[in-house]
Amino acid sequence: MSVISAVLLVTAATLGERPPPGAPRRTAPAVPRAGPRERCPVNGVPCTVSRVPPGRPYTGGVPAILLTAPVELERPETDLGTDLSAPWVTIVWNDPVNLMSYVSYVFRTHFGYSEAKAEALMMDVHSKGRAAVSTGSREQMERDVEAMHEYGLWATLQKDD
Amino acid sequence: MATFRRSRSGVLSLDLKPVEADVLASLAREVIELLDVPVRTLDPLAVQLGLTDLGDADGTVGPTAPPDDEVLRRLLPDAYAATDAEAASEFRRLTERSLRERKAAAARTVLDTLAPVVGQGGRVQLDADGARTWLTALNDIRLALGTRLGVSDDHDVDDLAADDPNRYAWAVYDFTTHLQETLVRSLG
Repeated sequence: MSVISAVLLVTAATLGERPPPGAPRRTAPAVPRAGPRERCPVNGVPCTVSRVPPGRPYTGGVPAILLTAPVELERPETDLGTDLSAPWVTIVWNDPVNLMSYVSYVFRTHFGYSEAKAEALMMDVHSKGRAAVSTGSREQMERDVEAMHEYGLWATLQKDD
Repeated sequence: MATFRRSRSGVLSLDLKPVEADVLASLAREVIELLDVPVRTLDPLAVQLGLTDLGDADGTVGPTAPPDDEVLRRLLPDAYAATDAEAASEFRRLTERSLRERKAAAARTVLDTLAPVVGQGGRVQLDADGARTWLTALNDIRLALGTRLGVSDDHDVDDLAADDPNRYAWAVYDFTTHLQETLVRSLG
């Protein structure tokens, strides 16, 4: 049995049920339901899991969150043409998770861009959905894309249009 | 809520409650499990010669197809657009395994930092290298959570129904967002 399968089984056992394969998104409970007055142990908002029974100290134990519930991932599409003589370009795509401050930090750190340039590129990603962040040989762009993926940014390379 | 702060000497510190330390450690462990990095049996001579990325005897280095799991597809995305699937496969074959290893190593660094405070809470301190590693590992955790939750540009945990089964996960997502935001800001 693979590690993942083992973890999923452990997770399912912990949670008391396991979504069937192909279950629609967001319908499978990631955590057990709980009563209406319980509060999230992290930030105190009402939540569906109570790990801290009233009057008792927290004694550890956190439910698995990441190992359940399938969701469709949209893929980047490009309408850019290809030109054999053109250089290559690294494109960073907008996504709803990466923080604007973090994206700007990555552009400053990896490319050595000024704060102004990094901010402008980040705003392009945010408002236009994508930005060309570097240009060069295919090999250079592959290194940039791999670095962006290590940072967790959504990047692809392609021939410049 | 726990917040990163920077001292005059440049050290970053974070005071975690027991549950916050446990949530973070649990998330880091889940990311490591998801990445499922196989143990590589490396030829010592190949290591010495820097040939470890040349692949196995049959030329296989890594997978050519994107992972089935949507979180892994987000953590390990295609490097080329869908119109260039062949290049994407070849790039993945050559790079995915080491990318998985680097991401798992970053998550392990977070776990190591947290080890003294898991179960009891307390202060963790990061130097510049540690802060950079935490930043990328926190981002991977947020990508994983955000993908599982189907996060969109505007979400508000207060908009969720009181009995929404994902309410806890959303609260954890907001917690990790707060941590990453204060960390990146304290790096300047």
